[in-house]
Amino acid sequence: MNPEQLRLFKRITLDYFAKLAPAEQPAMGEPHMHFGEPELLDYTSLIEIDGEYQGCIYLTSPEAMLRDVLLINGEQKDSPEHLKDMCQEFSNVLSGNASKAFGGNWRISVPRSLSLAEVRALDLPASTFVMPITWRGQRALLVVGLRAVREAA
Amino acid sequence: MTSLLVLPQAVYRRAKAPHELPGDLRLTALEWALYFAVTGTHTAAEIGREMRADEAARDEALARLFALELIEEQQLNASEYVRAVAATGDREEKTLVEFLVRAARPNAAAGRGGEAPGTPRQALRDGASVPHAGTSPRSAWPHAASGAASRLPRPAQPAFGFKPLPPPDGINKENRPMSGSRRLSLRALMNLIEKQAGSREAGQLDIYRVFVRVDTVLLKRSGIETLRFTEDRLVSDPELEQAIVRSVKKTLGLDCPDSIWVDVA
Repeated sequence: MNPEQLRLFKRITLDYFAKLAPAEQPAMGEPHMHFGEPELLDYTSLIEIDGEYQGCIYLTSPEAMLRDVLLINGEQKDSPEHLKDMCQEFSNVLSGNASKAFGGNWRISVPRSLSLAEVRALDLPASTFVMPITWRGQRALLVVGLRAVREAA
Repeated sequence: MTSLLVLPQAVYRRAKAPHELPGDLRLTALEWALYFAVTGTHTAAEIGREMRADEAARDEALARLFALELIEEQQLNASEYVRAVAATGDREEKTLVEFLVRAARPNAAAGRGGEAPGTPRQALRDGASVPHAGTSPRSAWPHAASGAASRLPRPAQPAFGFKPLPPPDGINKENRPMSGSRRLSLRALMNLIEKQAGSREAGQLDIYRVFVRVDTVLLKRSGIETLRFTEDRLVSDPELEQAIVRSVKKTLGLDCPDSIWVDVA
């Protein structure tokens, strides 16, 4: 993963939100590193990656943000199933963006949509690179979590 | 089980990792502190000073950890040994001849294992007084404060006064003195990596790659759960400091220069 790839990945992910509501542009906050228990919100859209490093990329979002996106898409219902469907849509976007940005250097898994309980049951990397995205007053986290391949084995 | 002649310039490391310790192991607070502090990096004198332990208590605790085979002595090359001696904190000026003579006979007064039978150290060597895991440290191992007879005899204080010049950047960093006044600045380190990377984003990615290799347990132990790229933290845990320095080298091929250490009051 090089800086250009990461920059492209961030940009096309932000573009997705920008297209949802052109009048309300998303903003990428100052990134940080997080260690230990991952920072997780209500629903998580996740893909696993494998290449120079092993790990995953995920977008973890608050329920209110997913509800907003459902409304934008004309869906009034916001049951857990609907929210999870919306989360799956994010996962698909994430997967497409990762394929575009990281190209042939990385193997990318099938995208997954996970509730908080489900994602907590996974063994996610303990060191993460976290990029906050603020959109319509809500804050989601775009996270890259890597393990050095040798240490991951 | 063998005992130990504790020299202030000796450098110890763990012989057993924490996860290998017997579940019923019981140690005093000082013994635990020393067990976690010995990482093959700092001298007995430095670690003792850092913990404000008096020398007899420090030596007694190290001897017990050694007898229990929880720690072992780190072998040093000549250069490391000279730095270790310099780091013991003896400020008395000595001629080179005095230094060399005493370095060749570091414990002339105590002799090389020549204590009289029946001394506490000899008893320790015989294994008579060493409490085993699971026994009460207080009852089985009298504390230094409980009487002179319970103390190990102190080896003669080496009269070293040799003060080596600081090494060039990148040389012998692993033996850097852990004085209370120098700390690794994460901000300085992150600035350095960003500068090397050529751009902020590339630098941030490099910084993250460095931290991917650092055990998060060490980071959390120092209260570092979240780290912003503009934030400063001074690392006081020598084990974390070494893990970061090693990872910088392994990940980026970069020797950490002196400039990332700062003096603190």
